[in-house]
Amino acid sequence: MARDDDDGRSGKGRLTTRRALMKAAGVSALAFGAGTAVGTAGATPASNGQTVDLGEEGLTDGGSIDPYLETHFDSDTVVHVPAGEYTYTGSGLGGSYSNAALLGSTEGVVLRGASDSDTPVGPTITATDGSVRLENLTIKGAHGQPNSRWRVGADAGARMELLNVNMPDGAVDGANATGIYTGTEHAGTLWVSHCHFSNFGDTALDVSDPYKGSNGTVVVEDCDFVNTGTAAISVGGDDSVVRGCYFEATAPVSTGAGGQARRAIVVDGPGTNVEIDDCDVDWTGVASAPIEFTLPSTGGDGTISDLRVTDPGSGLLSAAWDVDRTWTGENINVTEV
Amino acid sequence: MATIPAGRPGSEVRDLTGDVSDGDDLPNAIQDVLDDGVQVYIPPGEYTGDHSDLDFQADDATIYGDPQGVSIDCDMDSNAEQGTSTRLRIENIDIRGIKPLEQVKIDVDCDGGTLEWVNFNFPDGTVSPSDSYVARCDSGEGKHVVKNCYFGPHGNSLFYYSQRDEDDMPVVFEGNAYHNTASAWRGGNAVLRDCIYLVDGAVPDFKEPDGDPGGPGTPRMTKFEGGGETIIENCDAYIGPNGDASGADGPCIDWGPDSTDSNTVVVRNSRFGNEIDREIFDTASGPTAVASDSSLSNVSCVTEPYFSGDSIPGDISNGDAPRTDVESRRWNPLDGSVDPGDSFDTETGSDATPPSSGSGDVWTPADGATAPDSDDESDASGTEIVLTASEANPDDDCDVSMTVEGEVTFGSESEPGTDRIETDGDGRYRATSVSMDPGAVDSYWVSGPITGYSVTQGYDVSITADGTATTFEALVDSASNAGSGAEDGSGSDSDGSDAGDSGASDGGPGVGSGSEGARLLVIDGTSDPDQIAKYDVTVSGTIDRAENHSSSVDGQSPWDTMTDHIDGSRVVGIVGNGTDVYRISGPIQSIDVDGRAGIRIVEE
Repeated sequence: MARDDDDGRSGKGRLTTRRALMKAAGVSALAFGAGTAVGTAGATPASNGQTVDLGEEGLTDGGSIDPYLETHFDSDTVVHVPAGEYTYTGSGLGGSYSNAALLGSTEGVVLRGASDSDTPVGPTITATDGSVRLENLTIKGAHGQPNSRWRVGADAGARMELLNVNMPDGAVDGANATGIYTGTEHAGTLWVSHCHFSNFGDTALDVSDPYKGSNGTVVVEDCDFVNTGTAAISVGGDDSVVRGCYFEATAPVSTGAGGQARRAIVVDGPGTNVEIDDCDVDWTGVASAPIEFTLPSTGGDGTISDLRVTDPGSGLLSAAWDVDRTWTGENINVTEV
Repeated sequence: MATIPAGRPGSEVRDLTGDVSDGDDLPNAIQDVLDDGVQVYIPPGEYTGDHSDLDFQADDATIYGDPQGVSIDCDMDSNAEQGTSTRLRIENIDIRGIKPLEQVKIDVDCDGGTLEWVNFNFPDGTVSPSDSYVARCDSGEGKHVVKNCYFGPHGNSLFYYSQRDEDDMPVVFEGNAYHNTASAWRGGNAVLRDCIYLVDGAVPDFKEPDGDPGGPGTPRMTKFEGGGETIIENCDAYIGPNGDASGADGPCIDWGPDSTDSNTVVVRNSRFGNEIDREIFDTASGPTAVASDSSLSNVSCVTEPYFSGDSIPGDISNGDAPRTDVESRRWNPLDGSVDPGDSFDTETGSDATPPSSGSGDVWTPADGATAPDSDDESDASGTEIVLTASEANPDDDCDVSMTVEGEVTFGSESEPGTDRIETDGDGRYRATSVSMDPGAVDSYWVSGPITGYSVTQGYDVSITADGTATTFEALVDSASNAGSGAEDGSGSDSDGSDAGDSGASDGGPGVGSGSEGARLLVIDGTSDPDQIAKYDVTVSGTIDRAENHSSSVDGQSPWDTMTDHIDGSRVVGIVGNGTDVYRISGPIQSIDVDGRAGIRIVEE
């Protein structure tokens, strides 16, 4: 089913898009067996490498996944995780890889952090060549004061993919903790799709810093950010894309942001050709503008299109500079409640 | 350095940095530079001045105090007047000083414009007793917006607006804090949004200087008078047990003696409490009709009684306690919040499209989802093909397929869950857009030549390649001329699997001009002896019947005995339970098959 060309607004709504992914998953899975669907080509970054099923290797529901990852997660390897809940304390994922994937079962995979939130669980994962994908994983356990963010990125020409990787527990009160972070060294492409973040006091998806360094591409699509703090997303590099995402601020969150205003999207770097498209924002629970342009973003340019916002009259933008010199907006809808 | 965020009225910045310093007369310094079209920047500092010099009147102008802090220690000498015929914004200024018994206020009189007070604060209030307001409006037209402001204890109403023509001068209060004051709002036709009213100490007494002895100031968030509905949403009003040292009591929401039938109230998503033995809503003091004509929705009252008179219909419960954190709003700059400029095409009000609600799903599994097209524009290689179904198409029974000698990926306009991309494993791909609605758009990235296509017969689909309008025929012709895919001619339609898919066509491999010898176009109807298939084939060269190769399986199908029509480079025919074969030259430009028939191209 194709979409309607209705003045640029997606006929397939954001939620439809998420559902569509699940539908696509079914198609791809069937076609994979038949060996004909193109979708499978993109789904197996290491299709020419080895495949490991951690269930067959002995991983069982409730067990620790760390040693299995240490043993099996590597370049040119696709690691399948059977459905279940496993403890994960931060070992075995961090490192640099080429053409690797950690694919959770579509039936549900939970990686639960240490019960002590002060034990950081935050691997640094870098794609050096080809693509590295994390898929179908829910990371449970609130991030504590120590930095538990997951740091991801890609070298030039490589691709880091996070697909249905969810962090619903956010951070504990008072923790200045982010969810996922991309550093200045990111030079390739980061694709974050169909992920869910909630209850972070600080930034949930902090992917703006690449503008300070290698200026890699960041694409965030079809993600949900429900009751996040300082920023749901912070972007700043060239060609950054935030598309088809849902932002909600209707309830209090973890108090880790030092009382700063809560934002949906913070443009925190002077990236050019930044695209914010087809997003929905329910900002009825706070009196702050959902989109902020910080001083470091001065001089960047981009487009906000097909944006739908409901707020209590707090305004659409908070800007430290005259953004309408270089940014444009198309089909922005603001409903006050 | 002067930094005034975007969205404020005015354009010419007049920076007072260096012109004023702590202790200087700021109101006069502002008056010296204030003019239509200017933005006055005030550096951080603690200044002085006369209240009467707050007499700011300009069009398309902003008076902007640095968010770090600007205060004026005022001599509360007498009234000032403010107004505009377009827009005047006063932002980030504390007016310090305690107002006297005599009335000191700002008279608001607009001439069609909007007066905006943002973080324009009066924290020190009045002596007790006092007759002073913050502002009064008796005339004029326009709008007054009061946002992120803080008001301390006043003995009289903060905003006395009940004498104006309320229809000509609506008022919006938003994000404000009111602390230990008499009526925050006296009037009608207003919106109070995200405001907090708290009484946890003495409210100054009220007294007219030349009037009666006065009396205790009455704590209440609103006193409706003068006509016009007031909307209260996401607000909180709490009168605590020590709500007034002078013994005054008051409801949270009140009606004054001059209220009218139109002084109704709509209260939504708000919280109230009154610990001094008074009701939340004093409906007994207003006209009879106002209670029944007012409404409540998701209102929490943590004390009783709710009403002194008639009940207001709606949703009321003992739920969330009211917020009381007024001091967090004591100095509350907007942090650069701006109105979108002209570069932002923004729809507001009832015409705005509201956002979709969240799915509530954390888990949205995927298995084999392909990488997005989104980074596409920088990463995608090849040609972007965009298909657009005609608005004139009758329905969505419109499928479009194209065969490509190279990889195909979804473009931003396709829907991977429904649209399909398949490969034969030998580098040949087929993309299919399924059930295109009239007007629907799909897009793909193709990294090789398009060698075949099909469009459901009776439906019109236009195509662009990298933004340039073209046709499938032209693309296929181009591919053929490039000699692509000169193989065995076994296109994916050759087995007739597109049964019932009228209008299938497939230029197919093997039609390139590089082929040696005569080529035969074979239209094979034998896979379905009971049905016929109509076909329409055009090549760039010639078509001739190859009678010696054509056949009918049993010779009984009348269709196979019919003479197919050949017009130079085009043949239109019907095949039944047999095969029609033609010698062709030149690339195939189009093939349209209605029915079940296999298409092959072989060398003779």
